[in-house]
Amino acid sequence: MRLTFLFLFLLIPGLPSQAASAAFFEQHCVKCHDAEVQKGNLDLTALKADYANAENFARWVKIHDRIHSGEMPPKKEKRPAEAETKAMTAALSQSLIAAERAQLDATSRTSVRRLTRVEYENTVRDLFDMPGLALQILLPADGTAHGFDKNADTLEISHVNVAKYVEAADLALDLAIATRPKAPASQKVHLSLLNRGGQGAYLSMQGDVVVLRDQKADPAFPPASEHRHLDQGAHERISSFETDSSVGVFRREDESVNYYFRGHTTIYPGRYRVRTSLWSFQWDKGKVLPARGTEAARLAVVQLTSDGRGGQHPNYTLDYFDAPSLKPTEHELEVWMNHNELMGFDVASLAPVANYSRKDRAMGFTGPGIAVDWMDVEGPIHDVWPPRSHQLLFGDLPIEEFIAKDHPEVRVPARKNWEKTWLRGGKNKADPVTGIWTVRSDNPLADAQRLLAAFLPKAFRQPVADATLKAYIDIVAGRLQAGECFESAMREAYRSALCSPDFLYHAEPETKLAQHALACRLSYFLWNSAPDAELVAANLHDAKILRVQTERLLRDAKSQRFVEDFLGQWLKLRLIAANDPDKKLYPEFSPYLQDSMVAETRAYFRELIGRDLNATHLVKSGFAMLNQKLATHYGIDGVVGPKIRRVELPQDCPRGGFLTQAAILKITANGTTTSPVVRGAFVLDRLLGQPPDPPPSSVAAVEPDVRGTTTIREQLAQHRNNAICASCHAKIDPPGFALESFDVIGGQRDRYRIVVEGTGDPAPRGSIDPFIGISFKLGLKVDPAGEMIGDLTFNDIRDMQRLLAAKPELLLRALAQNLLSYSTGREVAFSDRPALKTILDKTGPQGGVRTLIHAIIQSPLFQTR
Amino acid sequence: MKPLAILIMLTLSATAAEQTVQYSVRGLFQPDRKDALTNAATALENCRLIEVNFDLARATFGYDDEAQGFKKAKPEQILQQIDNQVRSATNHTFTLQQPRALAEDKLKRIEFTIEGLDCLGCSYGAYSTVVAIEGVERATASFHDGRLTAFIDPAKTNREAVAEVLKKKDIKIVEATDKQEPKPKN
Repeated sequence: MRLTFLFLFLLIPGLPSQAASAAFFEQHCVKCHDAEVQKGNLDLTALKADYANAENFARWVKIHDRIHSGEMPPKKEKRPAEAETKAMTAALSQSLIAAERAQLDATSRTSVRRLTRVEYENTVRDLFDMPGLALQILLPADGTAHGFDKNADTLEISHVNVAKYVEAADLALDLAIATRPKAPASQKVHLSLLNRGGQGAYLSMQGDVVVLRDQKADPAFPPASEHRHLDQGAHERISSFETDSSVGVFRREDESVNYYFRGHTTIYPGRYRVRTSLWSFQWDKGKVLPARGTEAARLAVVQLTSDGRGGQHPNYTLDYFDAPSLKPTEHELEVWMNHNELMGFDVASLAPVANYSRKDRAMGFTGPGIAVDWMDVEGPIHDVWPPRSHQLLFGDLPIEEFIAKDHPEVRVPARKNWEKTWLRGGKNKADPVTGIWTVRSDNPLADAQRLLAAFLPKAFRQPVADATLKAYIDIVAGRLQAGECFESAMREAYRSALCSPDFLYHAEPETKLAQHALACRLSYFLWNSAPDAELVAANLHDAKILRVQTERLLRDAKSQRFVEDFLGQWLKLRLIAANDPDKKLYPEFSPYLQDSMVAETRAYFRELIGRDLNATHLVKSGFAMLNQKLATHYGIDGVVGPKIRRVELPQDCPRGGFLTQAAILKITANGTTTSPVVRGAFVLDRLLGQPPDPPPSSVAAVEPDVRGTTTIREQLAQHRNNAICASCHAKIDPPGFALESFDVIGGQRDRYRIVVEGTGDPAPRGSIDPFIGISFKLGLKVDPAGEMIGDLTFNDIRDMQRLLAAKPELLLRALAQNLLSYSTGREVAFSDRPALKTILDKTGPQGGVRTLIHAIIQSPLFQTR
Repeated sequence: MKPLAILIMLTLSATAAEQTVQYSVRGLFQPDRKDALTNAATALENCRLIEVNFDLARATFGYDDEAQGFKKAKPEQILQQIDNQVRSATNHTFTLQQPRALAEDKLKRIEFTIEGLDCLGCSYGAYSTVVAIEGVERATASFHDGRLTAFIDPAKTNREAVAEVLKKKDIKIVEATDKQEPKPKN
């Protein structure tokens, strides 16, 4: 049997000192991994060295890594001498690298890849200076490979993509091209939450909303009491809701309630200035009293769909705003609003109360409320006309009225009728233009050449060959000959450009990236979009200049796109809303808490970059990025308001690092129960860069005991009695055991919550809002202790944090691998390890995240295709 | 202005005779609604509001029978013309009808005290409910005193029927009476 093993092993190509290596395997490995025992399903005696086979190559990499890390041979077996292990792994590593390089050198490392849909949207937005243009929603979702949607393996183009690109290009050009001599008139509309068409009026009839004047109940519209107000239609006709009074809101948004400012529905997409005045109060059966503190209101952009009636339209949060006690506070923001979008509102920090079914309704209610005095929406705001998008496409050519009878041979340009598709209902008015207005060119082909020569390099993010330019000019010439006007002919060329491979794909023709390709790689890494003019012009092959530009990009607000996109995938923040926590077990959960969780993780990563903090901060930190909602959730006092800020943590507080952030803890739970396996696997994979093998299909998964009579730990103990499961779970479970101290929404716990009739102990309210009803009880105790491979024991999460933080090189390496994978669009291969080691050496074991980013960008791995 | 133009205007003014019509008004549910109608009437064109009788829910309008919309118009067209303008100026909270044929002394007055009648909108809501009932000739509803009064044609409806409609609309009646008060003056 051993002779067979030796025979196969000696077939490993390029392996030096084969005899020594073979002896190592024979002496230390074959005993458990031969044809008879096959521990871990590995029979080394039958394992060929067929490196061209990806599965076989991966097997050998795993063998290398297990021996290299000291995990194998197992501690109970006789240990090989360190020099012996080093020599063996070095030899195996060399042979693996040689084999992989031979294979990879024949191809490019990063395959041809198109823009992701996020990249596509950002690129179009930046190109046309239309920062809120919504295109992503039109495009099919991207797949992922090796944890990222930027991976070339997943970025193919189908006929569906092509059809959607045409649609997206048309929408972008509809908005980009000016079709009127003057900008649509900017209007300032004064709004009330009671305005017709929204639910504010309806809710005021039944006491979930009250009308306030001078911080008292408005005598002209008394709070609903035992009897709700009669006949909403009568109130509307008599103009009861057309009032300057403030609107006090008690009820939070839910499945049947949405607060929309229906007084302004956007007709013309563009920038709008939004101002509002907010304050909070304590309501006591008709009296307005000082509030319990600063509350948080949510402002959102609502995308009206279909006929715009009812609620539950898609929306996205702009931000959360302070509503201080009895102090009307104005907030102003500039927002891009698309066609048929309007402003939404919510009393985010309030508990989900409902007065409509309460005896005496608002007059029987005592509790917190948030008041909205008014909202002004002003726009569209144009600082120049025609807009920059139009200037990019048509330069300074004049816009003139197109008189059809004067051009009988020319087709009238098509026009998007914003007024016709507007879902009316607001106070804002349409400002239609009379006649057809279009760009005039006295010398169309010369103008086409000039305009396209300027546009195409920007759009394609690289120099454009004469032949390519000519192809686009030919499109214009062809359309003109076919009877199109200049604008339509140019539009056809622009649309073709926006749907062309030159626009849709990353241009990385050479192995060592040329200047423009490097500029693109850098900007798509840190801005998730095309480079700006300064980056394109900079000599990025000069290391100093590259460093300066990297710093500039990181400082720019657009780098937030990197933070969001990278964390969305590395730490799976995109999955934050994948499940809703059980309402009985976790009644304190709210969308505001969820958004705060995400904001914390993003702000924390930004802080790591900004202050260049080292990789131990991934798991352990002396500070956290919190707002009041999260601080309360974590049991930390003294944080007021919805804005995220740096908070120094008390000694021994386990919060701070990603490991114990509520977002991560929610993402790794299913909404009802936690599993040490899922959380442990997440830590191994995402934070330590050691993804565990998938479970064998023959073993049933551990189902949580919802009755609460056994803990998940006790169930896992049985599972681990199975030898097939034990070896992997010994690695996977320990971090998960320590994280059992946190529930599915990231709250710290000593005992599990249960909702089984007749069992459990009464639960203390803790930091849960007094207006939230509690029906759960406390069940079995949490045991967060355990042992990691290597005789490392831990009693709780703090011990676990210390153990993990003691491995800064592992954490840094894992982060580096993820950043490299994200920024280059390819998985870090085995043969990249020497280059990765150079990056890590340059960063240093205590080097910061910002230093790491620089080291990556300066590396050959980043600068080659 | 040239003398000829002034002469023409004076002539027209002198020859244009103002006609008057009286209509029943819906929407006069509280005394202060009289002011609301008067204010809104400033927007009327080619006609004007001359007088409002709140007690009888009637209004007298004057119009220029040579003016556009009124010239050679039949009575129902004149009503439609003025009613459209009134509706438009008041968000349809006032409407006009031909006065009823039934003599005032044939009407029966019924009164309800309503719970939760505490704002203008609620008053209007309760009034609209009652006034829409077949046989209710006119009504008032006031959040100042919480009372709803209806003048009904006894041949067509009665207090119980009105109460039933109110109940269906979730309007809670605290007290109902058939108390007769002095006849309103014409």
